[in-house]
Amino acid sequence: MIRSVTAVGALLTAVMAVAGCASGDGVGIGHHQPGTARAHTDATSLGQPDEPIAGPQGATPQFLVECLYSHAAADDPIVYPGQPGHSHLHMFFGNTEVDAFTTVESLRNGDTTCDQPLDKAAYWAPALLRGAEVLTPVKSTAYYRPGQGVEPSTVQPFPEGLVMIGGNSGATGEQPLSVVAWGCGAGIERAVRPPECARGRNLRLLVTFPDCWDGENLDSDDHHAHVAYSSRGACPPGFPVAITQLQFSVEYPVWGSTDGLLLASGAVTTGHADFMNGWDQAKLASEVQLCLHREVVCGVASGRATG
Amino acid sequence: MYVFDSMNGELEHIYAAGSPDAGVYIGECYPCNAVIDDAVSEHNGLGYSGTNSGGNLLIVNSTFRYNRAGVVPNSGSYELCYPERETTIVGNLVYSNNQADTPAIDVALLAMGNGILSAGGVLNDIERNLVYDHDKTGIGLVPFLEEDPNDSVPLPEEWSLTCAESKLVPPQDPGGGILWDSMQNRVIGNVLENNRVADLLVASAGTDVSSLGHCFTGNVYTTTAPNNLEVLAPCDATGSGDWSDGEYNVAAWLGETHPPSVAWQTAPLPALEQQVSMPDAATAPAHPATDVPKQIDLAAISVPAKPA
Repeated sequence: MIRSVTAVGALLTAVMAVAGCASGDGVGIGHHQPGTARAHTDATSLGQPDEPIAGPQGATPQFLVECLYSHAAADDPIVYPGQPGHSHLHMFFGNTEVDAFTTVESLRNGDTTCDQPLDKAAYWAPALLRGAEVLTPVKSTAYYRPGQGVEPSTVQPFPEGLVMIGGNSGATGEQPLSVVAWGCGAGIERAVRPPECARGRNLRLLVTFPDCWDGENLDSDDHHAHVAYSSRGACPPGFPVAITQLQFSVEYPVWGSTDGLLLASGAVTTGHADFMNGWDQAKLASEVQLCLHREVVCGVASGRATG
Repeated sequence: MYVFDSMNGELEHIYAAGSPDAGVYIGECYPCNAVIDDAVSEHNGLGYSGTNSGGNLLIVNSTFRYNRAGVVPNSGSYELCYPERETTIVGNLVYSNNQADTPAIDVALLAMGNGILSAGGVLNDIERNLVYDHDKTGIGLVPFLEEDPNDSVPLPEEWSLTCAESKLVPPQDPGGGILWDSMQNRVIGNVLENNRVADLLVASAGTDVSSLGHCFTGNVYTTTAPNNLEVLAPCDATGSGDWSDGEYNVAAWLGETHPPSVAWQTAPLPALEQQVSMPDAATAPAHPATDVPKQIDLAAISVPAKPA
């Protein structure tokens, strides 16, 4: 019978009746040249969520998509477009045809590993390594929710062609938990570094993307500046459009010791993830309307370690 | 214990206390294929809540006491997979759910003083429970009103849709509030005493209660509303009598006031006793839930004994 008091006047009557993949490498869209000096944009300069949205699932309106691991490549079509092999190693989920040459338009031609066949978006995150060993992830989960405190009925679907990066691949220290966090399984614990997870609970990287858009640009030179995080339920000046907050998690079959863990982008504190909107726009809009605007939970993620 | 949009599970040998919502909750699943067995839920807003759940969902051999309200399955479009249906509630001990010093969400306040309350639930089996000491009903079958619903009430022919299937049905704007009538519940072989409004109760808010399709047989009781429910609506014969005799105005509950919710951080709780059904809990090895839910021999369950 979960239901927030504020949402339920009705119930009163009830019983009766990557920093991206490069956090902003100072690259122009599709014009990055190797060797270009990095004008690093710290993800937090564009705000950050007030606090992590964490369980229990069912208390926050959401829809979600679970996508199996697709493939790995040292490609990044947002930060290093047209330059295969220029990126650190990424793990791709969702659209199966993603490489350095992928565009928003080409996503329509791919297949998807997601359980929602109309979600052909591309999701990717840096590979997790233990020493030289690349750890193949189990699956990913993309949670689509209103930003913390944002009025759900005001949330708009991502515009067609939007690309975003959450987190900072160039982070030199710990990132805010509200943007990048590690945890175990579907638990609500959040940590800036990988915790030791009990057997049966996969290690999980959770990246929260910005949920406010400038209303004009589908990308920006640093891949961050066109979007921002809401705070206290409101988008900052210059970002008038509240968009769905994407929380993207990647699960790795890692239990116990975290010794030797690294991300392909660097230390475990360089967590980040990238998104290219390849959704069927009508389906995405429908999901936003039916789930977020109506404030219902259209699905929850499984906590089973086997996915 | 919170289970949501999940299926094929088991909650057994559990203790839950001190929640403003439900001590034990299973919601948004059909068929749930789930078992709650040997649970103790007390000092919560609701002992059990199940919104839009059901389908091989068994609540057995458990105790719900000292909550605001005891066992409260309900329907509502604020969560998906409505209506609540096909929950089997057998062999439980449900008593003294009038507790005024618990935390409580709004619904728990409204449902206060009821033992087993189907609020808009359909096709539930409520059998061989011992239900006593409630300010309102022992077993109440009442409607649930949503003033600002997300969808229209599904027709009975849609009740067989699985949860996944029903999520694909486009919602229909009902144009106003909707009433989830509780319908076609079977109430058999329960033992009820000292439930001050009625041991057994059927009510609606505008619907002819004789059309709701509930049935009552073999219960041990003193009072019903309307009067003589086992004659009006027996499970194994054709009913007869006057449904207006003793019909209850459940809408009056809306105007009542209740002791306010107590902050969960400060609400009094009983001392946590040794949980005899959970020996060596701190050190016992995990038992992987690889073959759940277990099979329950419902026929072998009898009305529980009254505690000393």
